[in-house]
Amino acid sequence: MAEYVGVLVLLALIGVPTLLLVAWAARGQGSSSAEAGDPSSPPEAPESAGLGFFLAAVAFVVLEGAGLLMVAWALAAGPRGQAEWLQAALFVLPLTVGFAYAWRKGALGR
Amino acid sequence: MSQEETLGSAFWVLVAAASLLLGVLLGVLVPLVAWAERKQAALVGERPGIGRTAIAGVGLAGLFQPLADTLKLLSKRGPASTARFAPAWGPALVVIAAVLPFAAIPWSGRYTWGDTSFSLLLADVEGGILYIFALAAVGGLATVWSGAAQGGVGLIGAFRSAARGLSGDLALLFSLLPMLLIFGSLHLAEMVAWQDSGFSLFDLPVAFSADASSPSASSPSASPLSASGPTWPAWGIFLNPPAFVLVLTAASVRAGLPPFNAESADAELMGGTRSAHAGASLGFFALAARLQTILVAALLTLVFLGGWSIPWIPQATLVGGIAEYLGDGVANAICLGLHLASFACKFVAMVFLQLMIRSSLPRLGYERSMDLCWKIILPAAFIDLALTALVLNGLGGDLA
Repeated sequence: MAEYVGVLVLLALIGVPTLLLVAWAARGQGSSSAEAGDPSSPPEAPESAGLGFFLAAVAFVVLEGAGLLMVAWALAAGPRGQAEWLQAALFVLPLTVGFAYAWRKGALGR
Repeated sequence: MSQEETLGSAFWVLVAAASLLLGVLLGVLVPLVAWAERKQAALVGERPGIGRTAIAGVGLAGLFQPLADTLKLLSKRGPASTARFAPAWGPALVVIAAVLPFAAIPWSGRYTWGDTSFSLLLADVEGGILYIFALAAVGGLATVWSGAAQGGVGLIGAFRSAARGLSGDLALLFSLLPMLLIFGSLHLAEMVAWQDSGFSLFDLPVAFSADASSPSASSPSASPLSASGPTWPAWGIFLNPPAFVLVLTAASVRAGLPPFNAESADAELMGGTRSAHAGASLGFFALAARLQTILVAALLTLVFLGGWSIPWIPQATLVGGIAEYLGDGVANAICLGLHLASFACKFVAMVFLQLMIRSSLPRLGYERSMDLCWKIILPAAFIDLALTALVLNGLGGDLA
């Protein structure tokens, strides 16, 4: 875990001044509401995001998961031999067919 | 900025100094990029552009403009809603998430000086490039957060930024996969060490089927590619040119850099996610955008342009050649200097490529950015991945 010490030190180095700056910029405010853009009543979320949005979200989750699995494949197995290559092809083929099907069904918009 | 195994006090001093150095580097690069962005846009538009800021009569072609802009933003009063939690802290989180990826960016190879070996890399994290992906997701989430809490156009901008960011993320992952397949590593330093060699353009199969031991940062000469006859640098952009275009586009979409910034543009959505921000918190967004420009340029340099490597002169050859005359320590020092210069040249070229794109292309609507990711980049990345795997498989089974 020692390699993350650098990340933590950088986080402290950047985070503390940034947050102090935010606190300073926000000083003495909050009571006035005469500014433009003040969301005194934030509007509701759009009533229906629609089925299309849901389908695109599902397509994203499936593909992202598959993509991460393929990272492991690319690093661990790679195209070392026919067997590994075939395994990957068998994994990608249904994925591609599914993607094409979702596209055809209009999940990706017009 | 090296990693030591022991957690002694020297280690802490080293890490603190390295973090400080990285902070100073970014503190210099960000205003320079901001200046270059405006100068370049003015040149393209045949306008005089910035250049009238001066301290004691010294103008330096407007180099002080970013400083003046920063002071202006800091002196401005934010809207009342800034005091609420999410709107105020969201932009700060956007900046923090834009800075942290630089911890995993290597700026040089590994060199020896006496008994110690060092490299300009703050944190050699295990996830490598996946760590940068993770922080990009945090930044995207913070953008959504700081927009959604505003309501109105901010909320619409937040929805669009989420959709655009996720689509860009997916496209970026799949367009990077062929490169991971070629390099067989997530570590950026190892990718560069791999590229620090050459391949023969007209004799590719012979070059590829050479004995391939696992490349590592400590032995840059152990590249799987061997040269026979006239060679070409084994850079990612030459091995897989389509991937360069795909990654450049997908990374710009992922980061929401122009021309893919419709959800936060004044002309499209009245500022969108930034609509209710002013003063310092608006400045944070501008700062994060410059940091992401720098990050994308650094990533492209490392993955596709061979990072700090010098074409046709591998590190071992360079150090060996100089060491004959000046000794090992001096040779390593000279090599470090040359490598830093090489990295800087490629990095500047990548920044200007991005600036050229944003000043010459019209801004894409949010739907068109999505379509670009899902219907053009993603299928193209699938084809590129299949072809890369096919070629690698055909050229020599035991490449990795």
